[in-house]
Amino acid sequence: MWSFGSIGIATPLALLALAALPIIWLVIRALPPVPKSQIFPPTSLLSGIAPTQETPQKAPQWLAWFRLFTLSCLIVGFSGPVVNPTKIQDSRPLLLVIDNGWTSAPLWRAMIEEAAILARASTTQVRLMFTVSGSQGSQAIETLSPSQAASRLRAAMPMPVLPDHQRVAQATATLKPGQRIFWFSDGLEHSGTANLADSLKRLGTVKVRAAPNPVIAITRAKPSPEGFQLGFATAPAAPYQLKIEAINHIGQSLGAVTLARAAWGGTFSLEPVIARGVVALRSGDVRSAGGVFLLDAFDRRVRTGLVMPRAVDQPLLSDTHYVKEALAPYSSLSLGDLHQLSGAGLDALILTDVGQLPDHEAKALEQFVERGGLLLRFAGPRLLASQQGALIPAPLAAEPRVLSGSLASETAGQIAAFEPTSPFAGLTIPQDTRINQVALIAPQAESEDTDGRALARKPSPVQVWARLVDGTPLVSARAIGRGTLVLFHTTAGPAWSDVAFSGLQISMLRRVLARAASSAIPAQFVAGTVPLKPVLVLDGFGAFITPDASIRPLQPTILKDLKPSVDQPPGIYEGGGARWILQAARPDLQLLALKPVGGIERLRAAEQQPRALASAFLIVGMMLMILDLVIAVLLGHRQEAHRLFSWMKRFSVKKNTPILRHTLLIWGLYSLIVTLPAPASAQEPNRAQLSQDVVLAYVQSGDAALDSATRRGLEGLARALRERTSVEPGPVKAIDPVKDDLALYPIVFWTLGERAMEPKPEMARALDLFMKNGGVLFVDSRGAGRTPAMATALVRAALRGIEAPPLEPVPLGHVLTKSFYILQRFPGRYPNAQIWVETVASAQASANDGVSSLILGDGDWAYAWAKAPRAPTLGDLDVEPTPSEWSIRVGINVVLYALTGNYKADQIHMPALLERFGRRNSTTDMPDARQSRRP
Amino acid sequence: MMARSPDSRSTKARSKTQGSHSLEGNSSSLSYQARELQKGLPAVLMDARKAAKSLFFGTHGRKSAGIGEAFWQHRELADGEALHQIDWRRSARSDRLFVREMEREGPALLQIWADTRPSMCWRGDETRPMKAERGLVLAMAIALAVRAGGERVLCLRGGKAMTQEDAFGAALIKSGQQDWVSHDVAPAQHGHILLISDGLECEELWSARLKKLAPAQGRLILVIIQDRDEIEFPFEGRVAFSAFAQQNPILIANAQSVQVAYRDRYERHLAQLRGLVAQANGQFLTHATDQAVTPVALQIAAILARGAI
Repeated sequence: MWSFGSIGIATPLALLALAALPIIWLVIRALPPVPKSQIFPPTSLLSGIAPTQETPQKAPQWLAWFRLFTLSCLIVGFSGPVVNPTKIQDSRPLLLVIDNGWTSAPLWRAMIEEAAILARASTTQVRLMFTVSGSQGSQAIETLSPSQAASRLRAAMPMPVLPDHQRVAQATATLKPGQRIFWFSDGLEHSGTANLADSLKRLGTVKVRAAPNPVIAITRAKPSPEGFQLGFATAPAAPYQLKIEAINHIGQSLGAVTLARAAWGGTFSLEPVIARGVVALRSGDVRSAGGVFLLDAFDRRVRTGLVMPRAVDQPLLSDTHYVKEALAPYSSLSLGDLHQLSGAGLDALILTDVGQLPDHEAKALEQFVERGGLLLRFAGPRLLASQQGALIPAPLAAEPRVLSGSLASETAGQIAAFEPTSPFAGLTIPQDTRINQVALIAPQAESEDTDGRALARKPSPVQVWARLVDGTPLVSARAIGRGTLVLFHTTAGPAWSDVAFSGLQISMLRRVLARAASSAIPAQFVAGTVPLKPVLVLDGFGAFITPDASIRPLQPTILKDLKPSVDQPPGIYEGGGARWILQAARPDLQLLALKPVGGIERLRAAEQQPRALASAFLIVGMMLMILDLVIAVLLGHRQEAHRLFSWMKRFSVKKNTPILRHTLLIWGLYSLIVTLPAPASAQEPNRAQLSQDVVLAYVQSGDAALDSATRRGLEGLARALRERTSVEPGPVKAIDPVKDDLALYPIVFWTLGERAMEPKPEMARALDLFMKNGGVLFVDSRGAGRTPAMATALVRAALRGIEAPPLEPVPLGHVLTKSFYILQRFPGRYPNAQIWVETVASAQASANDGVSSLILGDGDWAYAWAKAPRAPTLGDLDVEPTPSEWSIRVGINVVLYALTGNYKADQIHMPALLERFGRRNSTTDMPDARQSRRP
Repeated sequence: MMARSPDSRSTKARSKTQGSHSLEGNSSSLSYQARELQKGLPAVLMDARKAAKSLFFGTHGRKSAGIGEAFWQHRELADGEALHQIDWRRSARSDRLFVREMEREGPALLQIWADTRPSMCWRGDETRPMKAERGLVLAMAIALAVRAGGERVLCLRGGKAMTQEDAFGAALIKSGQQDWVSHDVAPAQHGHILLISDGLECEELWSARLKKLAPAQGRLILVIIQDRDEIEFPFEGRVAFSAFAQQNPILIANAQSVQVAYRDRYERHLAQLRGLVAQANGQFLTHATDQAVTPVALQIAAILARGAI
């Protein structure tokens, strides 16, 4: 390797050929072009003329220069020039440490691209170490080939979790020293960063690449009267203007404010009207999981109406005053009379001690509750005096129980500790609060209910949310329709109790109103036993994703100090009536810049990677050679060339001039040579026969029972293909990808065995190459009959070493759903089988013309195909096809998809084309239009 | 106005007829080029008629000078002549008897040979007609004009007389196909001879031909049809020249370098031919195919008129 400045030459000896250029110059100049032949009647006159100039015609000078340039291109190309050559061949294995926590999300694309280029340029094996990885530490380090590492990196996504450098530092203990280490850091300090730096330093030379990170995290969002009081954690490079958005459950922005970046946070004010749909607050410009703060329904502002009495004589003693003061900071409170409020579309209505209601108002209230509203009532003398009707949880006794006075016991009037299932669970009860009078549930009402009195609609049972120490219900509730009716058995004001003076009443009211927004109670108050399942989780970029099966439910016992992990990403979890919100950013989060560590070089910019230029030079040289061929032909037929040019000027074909034919011939020959396949080897006698037929091939698993099942399945499928389609498959063939040439098969079936088994590297390479060269690999995990975890493990193991493209379940309208039969589902042996194909974006980008090179399914189709039924006759068309008929249809679609590729995708324009033909036909009666309408 | 239209007309007609393969009955004996020529014959005839229209307009004007078409002269009645020959009207004006003598009964004869051999079927550029085409146009134009003047027109070889135009054209093409030496042809005693060729054969051959043809009384005209490329030799670079596709080519490394020598040689050849024609008491004309056909046709007509057809 020679290098001058930033250009190196791999094989300098090849440049010696440049010395031969002067000689080539002479030869080119001396070499006469082909004589053109000319018919000329007076030729006999010429025979008498002695040629006056004997020296041969020289090639034109520009042609000689052109040819020299072409040759130089080729020579330089063969010498293997490299830009930015590696000065010293570094044979140490490359270790890439990548921070893939959510803090890397704003930098992710650039960071991963840089890492992938670095990995691809490596000459040795590449170890990848992600600082966030699965639950087990075993997969912390992956050893891959350079190209595999590059594609693995490009497929990687940031995790919605903070990097755990402590754990990774421990994982490095298994590595030997003598590594070349690149650490793609998010530029922030995390737990154990210093440890990681130390342990990396022990392993070899470390270079840290940390771009300025603008990440922002919302750590707190406290509801305030205007909206929310926010707290931020910002990285040093964060923008000074923070755009904060309120988003709904699908990530749409409902409102946005721009705040200055400040240590004390900021205030986000939100109009009450849109507040209802807000699920989270999000940093709008710099996206990451930490920039999303999920709001509990408890944090949400409930729109509450408080029914005011018509005349108030003593404001400070009135019940409504207490309620109003208690709720004003936490909910948007509307005041008014019942008539106004019941039609205002509120979440909750509060009635303090209100007696008899007019009929129409009672009806309106009833409707309000049945439609999902929450009606909160307080007892009092007026309520007891009235005919209570249906708008209380249970009929009340006419007289309240008086708990104060000289006869009362010490503990009378004290509130008992809340039960865990109560909405008030977890609230602390002040010692000095006493209830003086309480309304009692009429005993006969309870007995009547238990008798099962014939009612038009059986009412749901009364729930008691709070009791006094002696068991007297203090708060009772009942569900009506979709709504809830809640009754506090005392007054809202100080008349019957002194709860109104304590903070307890405020808390209790808030809890009750939270029920208006969500049936789930924050899990911190409910010590449930049921695991909480994910409802909505965040990915690393802070987008909402639907939880999949890999996410573990939260155990309710350990919620308190739970940190998000890969298995339990930040999100909303619900279960057993409780809800827990796992925020990505903890309230005490701080994003500090990465401290410089001695002995570790910090790179300011991406390291220049060597880039080979040989192919560019060779391609240019080859193209110039082709151009030279054309020039040679043109020079030989100057007159015809002239004609060709004039013809080209006129843009019309009048006559197929010979020069045109020559040029086309040369191009044709050239492209033929280029595309000619390598000569077939003589060792495979049946190759020709194989290439004539479509052969269904399957990968031998080594398990005789499985292999024979697959063979029978494919034979059944081949039979069905022969009967129903124009595909005439040859005999089914078992192949060993290591030994057999896969290029002969359009599609290879691979049924996975019972045990997870990694393929041999050669096999993985062969299958990988097969897929890259346009083959379709159909992998059947037979997973529908297994546990999901088992199936996933099987597939993961089988595809290890194969560059599998990103997969998705077959989307609507995919070619696979219409390549022969129109299919909506893909039933196999198991009716709920699924098929995954390469994502549309990935398939478009691949060289395979939009055809998925990998089809992954779990339906155990081979088993179902073995009993391929006959094609249904016309009479059977009404009959619902049998499961095996369905599965054979799936098989036929898969094979035809492999054979015809995206052909059917083009048919999507067919209706439009037909319509256009039809329109032309109607206006001008052209015969060809008639014909084309026939199909 | 006449300058370009014959050329373009014939080219058009040729391209029109190129695709058809319907050949005439006697065409099997013809070469490929001759068959092509024959297909283009209608166009040639059309061009020829156009050219003929302007011919002999002045020279044949003597017929309308008042002497009368049939009348030649009056002479005195010789002894023993039949009485019915007496022109009584003339005789009555004097004492003598006059005989009205009519114009000579045997019309003058024009024999035409137009070369259609392969060397004639060539052109240096698509925009020009082939030499043979131009030769035929010329020949037919003269033939039509001469016949219109009441004379007889014959093929020099084969002796086919002109009755129908297209049959005569076909005969011309056919007779122009074969090489001829002097003893093949029988020049009429008082006929005029029109030879149309590119004159590229060696001087000796032409000398022999012309000697035999030298007519006793009539005129001999040799029209040399030239292609512009034959005159100017515009070729460059390395060129292999061949007279016909089959012939061994002559390779010239730098065609431009022999241009002057070729032009000299060509001029010399033409001069020799001119000399030979002069010896045979004939007229020598040249015509390049990129020029209009009318001037040369008028020239021929003038020469023939002087010979008092």
